[in-house]
Amino acid sequence: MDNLKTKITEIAKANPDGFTIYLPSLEFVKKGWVIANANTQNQYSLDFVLDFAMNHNRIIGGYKNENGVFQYDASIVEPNRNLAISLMLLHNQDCIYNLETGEYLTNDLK
Amino acid sequence: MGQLPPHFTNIKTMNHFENAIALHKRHSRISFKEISETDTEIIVRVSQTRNPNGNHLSKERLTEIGRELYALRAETKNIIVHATTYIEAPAEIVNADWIKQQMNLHKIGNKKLVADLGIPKAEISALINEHREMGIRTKGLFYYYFKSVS
Repeated sequence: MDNLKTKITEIAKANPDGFTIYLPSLEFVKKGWVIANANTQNQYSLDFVLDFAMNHNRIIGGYKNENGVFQYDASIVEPNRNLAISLMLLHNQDCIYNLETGEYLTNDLK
Repeated sequence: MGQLPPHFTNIKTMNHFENAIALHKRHSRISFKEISETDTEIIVRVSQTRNPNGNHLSKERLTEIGRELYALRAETKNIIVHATTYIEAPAEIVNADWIKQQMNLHKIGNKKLVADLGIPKAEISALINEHREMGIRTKGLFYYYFKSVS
């Protein structure tokens, strides 16, 4: 797990604008709607998020926020638009994003 | 509570606008720059840089994204989008496998690379064995080195 953490930290440093990768392969996710998992919202602890992601969807994302600190989240990637919308509502997210098309959907219930 | 910026009619729309900008940056490396604005028209530049997940959008799609986004804050105005697509640098092809292939092809060993490029052996090994990420400058170095010996 330490080795994985080191590699994720390197990927984060190389991609401060953001990244979403599969675990443990560390390959970038290329397709589907990205939904942040509510359980890891606004997390700064890579240990916590990595542990959570490894035990759930095995996808982790992160970016350097406006204060220069890395934030991480366990993500869900869903190819089906309607299911992705349901997951956005279930996880109480403001929005979801399609990695391939750049489409952006907002949660109108919020 | 802070005052709402003049372009937005409500806080929800403003939040959508800001969230969309953040997500386009995070997931697609798309950025937006307002070039000029009058009472009737707004000109926006939409640019995409290299996206690590490999998804690069067309000029048409970037234009559409710019129009959709700025409709949130300038819906009554004519929205003109100048879209700049990402053009891949030839050196982007370089990775550890590519370097190994080129070394085999040109019969160049680690020692020669060390001598010709002035890079320590340990660093070359780390790059070839993928223990270290290669930035575009390093990729460029290898790309043009092997091009010069071809």
